[in-house]
Amino acid sequence: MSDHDHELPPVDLRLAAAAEEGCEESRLLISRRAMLGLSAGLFAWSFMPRHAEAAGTEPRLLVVLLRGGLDGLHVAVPTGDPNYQSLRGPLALDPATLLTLDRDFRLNPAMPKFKALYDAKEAALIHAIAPPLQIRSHFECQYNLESGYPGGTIRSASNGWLNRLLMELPVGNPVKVRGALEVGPTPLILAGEAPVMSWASGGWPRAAELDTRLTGLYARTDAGLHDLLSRGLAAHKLATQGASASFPPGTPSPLQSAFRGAGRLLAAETGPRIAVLNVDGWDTHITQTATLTSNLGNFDNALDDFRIAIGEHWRRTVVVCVTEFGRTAAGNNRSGTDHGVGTVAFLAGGSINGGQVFTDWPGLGQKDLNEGRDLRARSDLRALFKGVLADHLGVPQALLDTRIFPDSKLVRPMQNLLRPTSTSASMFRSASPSPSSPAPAAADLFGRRNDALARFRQQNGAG
Amino acid sequence: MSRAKLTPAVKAKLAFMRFGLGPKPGGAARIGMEADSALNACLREIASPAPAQILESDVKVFSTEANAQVSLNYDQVCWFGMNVRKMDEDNYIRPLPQDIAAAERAARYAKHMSPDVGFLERLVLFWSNHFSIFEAKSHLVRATVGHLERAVIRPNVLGRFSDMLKGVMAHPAMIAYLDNHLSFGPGSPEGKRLKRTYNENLAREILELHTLGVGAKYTQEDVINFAKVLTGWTIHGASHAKAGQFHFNPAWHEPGAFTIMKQSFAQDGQAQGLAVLNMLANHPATAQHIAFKLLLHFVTDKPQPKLVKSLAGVFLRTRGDLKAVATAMLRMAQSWSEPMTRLRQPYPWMVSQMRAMGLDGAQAAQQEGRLARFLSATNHQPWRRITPDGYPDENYVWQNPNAIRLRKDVAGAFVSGAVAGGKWTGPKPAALAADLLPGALSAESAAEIAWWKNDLQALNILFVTPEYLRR
Repeated sequence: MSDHDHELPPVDLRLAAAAEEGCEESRLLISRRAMLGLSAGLFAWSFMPRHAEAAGTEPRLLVVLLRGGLDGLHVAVPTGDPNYQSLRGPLALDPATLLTLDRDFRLNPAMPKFKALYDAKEAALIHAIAPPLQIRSHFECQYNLESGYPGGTIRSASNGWLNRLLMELPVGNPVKVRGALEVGPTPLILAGEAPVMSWASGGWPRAAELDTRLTGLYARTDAGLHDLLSRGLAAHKLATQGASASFPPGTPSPLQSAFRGAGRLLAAETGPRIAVLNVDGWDTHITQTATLTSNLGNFDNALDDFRIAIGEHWRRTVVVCVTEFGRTAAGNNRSGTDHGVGTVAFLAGGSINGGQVFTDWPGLGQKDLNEGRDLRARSDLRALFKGVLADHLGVPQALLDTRIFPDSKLVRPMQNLLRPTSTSASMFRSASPSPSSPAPAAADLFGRRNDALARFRQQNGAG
Repeated sequence: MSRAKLTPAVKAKLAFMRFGLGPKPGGAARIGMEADSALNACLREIASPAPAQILESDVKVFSTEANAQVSLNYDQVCWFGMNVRKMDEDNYIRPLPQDIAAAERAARYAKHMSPDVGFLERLVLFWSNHFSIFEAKSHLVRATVGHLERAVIRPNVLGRFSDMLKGVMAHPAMIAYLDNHLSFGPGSPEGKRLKRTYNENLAREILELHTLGVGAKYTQEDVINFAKVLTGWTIHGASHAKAGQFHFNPAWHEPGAFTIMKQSFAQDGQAQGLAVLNMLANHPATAQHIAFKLLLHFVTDKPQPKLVKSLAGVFLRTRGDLKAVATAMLRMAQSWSEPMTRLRQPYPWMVSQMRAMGLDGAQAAQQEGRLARFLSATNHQPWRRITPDGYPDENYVWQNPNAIRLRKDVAGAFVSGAVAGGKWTGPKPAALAADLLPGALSAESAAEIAWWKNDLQALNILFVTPEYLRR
């Protein structure tokens, strides 16, 4: 058995991710790790069924968390805004070097593959968007984005909205059976009651013989460990092996390996249908242009590799790439930008109603800016998520408004993000929950912290 | 998994894997092979808290000012935590908060190498996780979280729960982590002047996570009243001579008496909060919560109600004497008879590899950076749980297919990098395994370890045998 780990750089991706965890409101940390570049961590999904079902025509969803606060003005450049050049000063990009998106926006030239998807109407951008909590803190804003709660209830939940979605899926639904997958140390977005399991995109070099010997030892001594290891090895094989002829030549970057793994897993008949990837490295307090040229290029390659890896399922796929906040509209004195509010989100996939920039542009005039410094957010990331979940996965609005994004009735789902012809099989096709069938959401009872204690006390009382 | 006969050898393994940090070379022989040897070894380790103490001088961090390894006191870690941004102007000044946190972890690893079982260290880890803090919340938290564990948790690990609770809440790491430095009494002089109000965060988590626990009978009104009681528990600002240090500020404190859990608290100032914490620390729901959680952590996913009740009774009768509670848990028959079906958590499992390989304290401390990689990969790096509930104890969180695959790779990578020059100079792994777990290693595991000619691969196998993975 060949050992595909050896094809990967022996660097541990999560080392970089761990370093990124130091990401605070400080330039100090950033300057030290600027050279780390992009990183992605590990996957997780709930479990791998033992028996394959009919080839999966279910929709696929990949959520990419761009951590650190990506500067939307540097990605989808508002060349049509009269204030752009003067406001950005030395950070302003030369329109002639950019890739035209429409009359008002041009794309950073580091993303030619995304541009090709955009031209094929399989990619779109949302501009001037942010999570509901707008306080410029990585920690609080990421928490807010992933918990799916309104701004005021920080840390009121220890579960994320994607996990709550899994909890709400009707029993027996293939997507629920297959669970979700995740990259990075279990981000909040997938944390919660629904079991999530992981796959590391990197790993360490090892002797292939060790796998077979250890599997044999477990078979003789511990049936539970044998079952777990066998499934873990199978998943790893699924994610790291398969047709690679169509990928660009050369050693894939760690980020590419992660995206390829995600694509292979989502494509697999017995794989998950929902995935999360963490991509760090967007906190550009210094030397922003150079950093983003490198990181956006790396991201562009990785995203396109995901498209190749997922193969024919691309047409039933939506990729949503979001970040916790944008950055100051003007640069700082270190050729970088500081934390702001409004920014971009990316959409890609064969189901996307692509080739457009969705925005209600707030403008870059001094009085248009949020607190005189940041691009304002004209839409709420929850509206984007709700639009995708409603149109791509068929999640009923009542669930979106309450359980998945609590207290969000006033945040209307974005419309027209998906092609009208994209009739992905709804996850809820046979089980539209009627208001009168209050499935006692386990999440409501036990989704919070200390579920073991809560359960115990239900039986035995408190104290 | 069948219920193994409780021979002295099995009990020793159980002590190492369930209650300790894994065996050390010669450790099993030292604790002995009589019927009660394993229990007595655990009891001996909690005779006194002294062996668990880490001195300030044990924590060394590089300072650019001194151009040397120095030890920082409370004043200094607080000051660095508050003023790191100023230091930014002067590039590459050290120590940074992350250097301080790493030095604290290194000292912790060194301490883990000493005891034969490691039960007292495991109790420290339990309480540190009970008062879980996410270090990346802010520079101040990162700079002081290690100090909290060293100066509050360790001295009280066999003391009174109420003392530990009060010490934790009067520490800048917890105040800053749960936002109490942003909490103003709306009727206090400063609250009125600044038009600021209270923040419920700390009060809620104390009730829900640290004392009564979820499902106990407290109300939203209790949370609000407690939050008001805690207004004024804050930290000094960056420009203050005692920057970052905890202090009680009466000008922020909401005046008046407040009712919490049907009791009225009419004290003035900080005494009011201390009185509430004392009440909570000795409440029956807290006793039940702690008893349940100790059993969940150390013994089983499903603690029996009668055992929870019994252990909670000890907690209440002794007014939260943590030594008495730990002793009572050790003396419960189920603590030893419960089959070893759960997966060991990654942290003690990683530490047990260092212990098995015979690393001394200094060598273990040097592994801090490498351990950070492996513990991040396995989602169990100290002080990295984002939410204040701490790392969970339930088996399902840790035991999944990828986790097992990852353990295999992690052990292999860690072992090969932890020996000097990549060459193992210790005893042959088969002999080492027999020394570590005499009479408690299956014939199959022993044969598999012996099969590998490469010593490092043999050690890799040892650390993922069922004997090393189960607790």
